[in-house]
Amino acid sequence: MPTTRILITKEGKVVIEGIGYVGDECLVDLQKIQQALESLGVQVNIEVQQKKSEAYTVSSGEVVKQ
Amino acid sequence: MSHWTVAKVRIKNPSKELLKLALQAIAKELGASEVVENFEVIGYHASRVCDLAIPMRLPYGNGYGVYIDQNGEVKVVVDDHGAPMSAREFASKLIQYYTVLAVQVAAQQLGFTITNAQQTPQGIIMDLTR
Repeated sequence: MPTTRILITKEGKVVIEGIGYVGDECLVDLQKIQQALESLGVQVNIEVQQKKSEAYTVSSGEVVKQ
Repeated sequence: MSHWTVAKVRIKNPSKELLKLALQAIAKELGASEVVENFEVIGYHASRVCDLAIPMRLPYGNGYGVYIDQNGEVKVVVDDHGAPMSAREFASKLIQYYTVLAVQVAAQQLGFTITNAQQTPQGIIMDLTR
C-alpha cells in the first residue's frame, strides 16, 4: 500500500517520504497533504525534493542530517 | 517512483483549537495543569495579554503565553530566565506539536489512515496510508 511517511523534527522541519508509490502519485498525495495543512495554518515551504531510487530507502535519521 | 521532500514549516493563521491542544501537550510536559485564554503573561518589567497561556510560577514570570498578531503570525511570550523551558524551545515544541495535530486532521480529511506514529530522537514520525 502506498504510504506517505512524515517526520516532524524538533527544528521545525518536515521530511516527507513516499513509500511504495507508482509513477508520480506520490507527488499528487504530497500536494493534497500540503494543501490540507495550509488550510490548517501550516505553511510547508519545500527546500529539497527529489526522486527516490531504491538506494534511498534508508532511515529518516540520515535524511534529516542534510 | 517515490520521492522525498525536505520542507521548512511555518505556522500562520492557525486553528485556535489545534493551538490549544498543542499547548495542552506542552503544559503536561511542564507539569502545569491547564491552558487558559486571554491571560496576561507577566515578566520582568513587561507584560502582554495572550490569546492562550500556560499559567505557572516561574522565577521572573507567571507562565508561557501565545498570541496571534495582526499578520496571523504566532508569537510566544515568556520571561524564560531560570525557567524550565526556554522561549526558543517552547516555540519549537509548539510548531512541532501543532504540525503533528494538523497532520492528524489533514489525514482524516483526505481519507488517509495513520498506520504508524512514533517518537524518535529525530522527531515524530507518522505514516499515512491510503
